[in-house]
Amino acid sequence: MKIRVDREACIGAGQCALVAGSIFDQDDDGLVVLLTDTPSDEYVAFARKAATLCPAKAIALEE
Amino acid sequence: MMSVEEPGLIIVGASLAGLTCAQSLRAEGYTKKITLIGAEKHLPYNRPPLSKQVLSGKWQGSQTAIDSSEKFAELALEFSLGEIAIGLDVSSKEVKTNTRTLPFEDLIIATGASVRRLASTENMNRVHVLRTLDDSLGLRDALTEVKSAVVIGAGVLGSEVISALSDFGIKATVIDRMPAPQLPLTGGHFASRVNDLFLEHDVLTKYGVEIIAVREDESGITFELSDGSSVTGDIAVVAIGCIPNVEWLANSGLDITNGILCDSNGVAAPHIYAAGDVARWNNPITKKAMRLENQTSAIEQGLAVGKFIVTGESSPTTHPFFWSEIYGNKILMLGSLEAGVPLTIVHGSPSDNRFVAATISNGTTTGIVGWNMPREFRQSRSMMEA
Ligand SMILES: Cc1cc2nc3c(=O)[nH]c(=O)nc-3n(C[C@H](O)[C@H](O)[C@H](O)COP(=O)(O)OP(=O)(O)OC[C@H]3O[C@@H](n4cnc5c(N)ncnc54)[C@H](O)[C@@H]3O)c2cc1C
Ligand code: SF4
Repeated sequence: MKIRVDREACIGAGQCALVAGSIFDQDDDGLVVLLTDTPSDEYVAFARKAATLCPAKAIALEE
Repeated sequence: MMSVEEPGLIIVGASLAGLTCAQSLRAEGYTKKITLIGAEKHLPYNRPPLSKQVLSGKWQGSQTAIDSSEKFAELALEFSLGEIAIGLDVSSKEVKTNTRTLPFEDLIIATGASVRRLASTENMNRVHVLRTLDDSLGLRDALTEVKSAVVIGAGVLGSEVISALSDFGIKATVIDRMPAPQLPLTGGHFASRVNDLFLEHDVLTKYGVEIIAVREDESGITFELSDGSSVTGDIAVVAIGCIPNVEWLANSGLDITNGILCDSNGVAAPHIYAAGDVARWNNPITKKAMRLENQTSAIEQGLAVGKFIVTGESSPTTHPFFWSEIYGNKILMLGSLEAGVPLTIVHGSPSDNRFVAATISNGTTTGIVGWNMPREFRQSRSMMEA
């Protein structure tokens, strides 16, 4: 799985970092930062959860 | 492999809440057929950018798409777009649409909300509303041609539109029957801050007035107000709130007073669920049923309904969350600020235009707002859980 984030769409809500802190972080402006774009298998479900929960739909997954 | 057996599940409303229900059902292991009926011709898209990135011209309309049709095909979701549900028979478990009658095993109602219109302006060419992608593209085109605009409604949507007008160098007037601007769930705490932004940007404000008459002619649109004054603009944008799309359920027997009444799992009747802007879920903590109109509630309700249908398990109740951007200020809001309780500043300072604030009563944090401080806002979210 490959993750892409759209920092122009991101509104800094931080849902992603709350549910999957090992994949997503926020910079000083609160915008999403990817810690890895290819999560290992045990983290795929968390990435999916983050993508669904992101209120700005700024996280896309390519499987 | 997915075994697809009739009649399966029908979702009426192919937008954020409906789509999230479908994704959640598949994620929980639902294997039967899922059909999404949507009145709009577009696949699910995000509305928040319609008053922000799309209106300002930063984004193409297509950038609001939530996901690709390939993704939907992988999930075996069947979309029927441009189809409108017109009736529901609860006892025979059938939805009637403009083209057919569809039996269902389970039904999810996710028909969202429509803009409230201003009486007598429905057919005026200079009057715009903002709910759909087509509305946003139409308004954006108009903004490139006009010099002045009147915005009716100083709520969050009206405020976002007013701030977009300044990007186009358009002279703005705002009319509201309330005495000040209103952001949802903020208990009036941000009225003067938003008003100050309007004044800084030369917005003419008309608060606490009723509209008595509206006139449209070649030179513009004029509103006569209850204080004896009148305002004129090249166009008007009406942003006076939304009404849930429930007319098609009028004879269904469901309780549709201000949205479809549901229990805390989204159940409106046996095998009938509702989620998103159209739904009024019971909140087990406050014991009140409330209709919430924001992205996060639509997503969380969608997830909860999918999980409940497949597993029978309830999801925890969460605090409402919304965001806005007004003149570039990033506003994040969790829970609801209490009117009359003074704000406690948690980070930063209001005079620096960067802060996180909360209302705390009897030791309980009832709401947190972040103003240009997203990172600290997230760190402060734990105050709500404590
Ligand atoms: C301009 C704008 C800006 C916004 N900004 C923010 C923001 O910054 N933050 C935030 O949290 N929220 C924001 N919102 C609110 C957010 O977009 C909504 O809460 C969200 O779209 C709700 O999703 P929903 O699926 O419940 O309803 P909707 O998105 O309203 O979708 C309902 C769908 O059902 C369809 N439908 C209706 N009746 C029928 C029928 N009888 N048959 C078939 N289909 C039907 C409709 O055509 C529509 O496509 C904004 C909304 C707008 C309009
Ligand atoms: S959840 Fe979405 S909007 Fe929020 S920080 Fe993450 S990517 Fe940005």
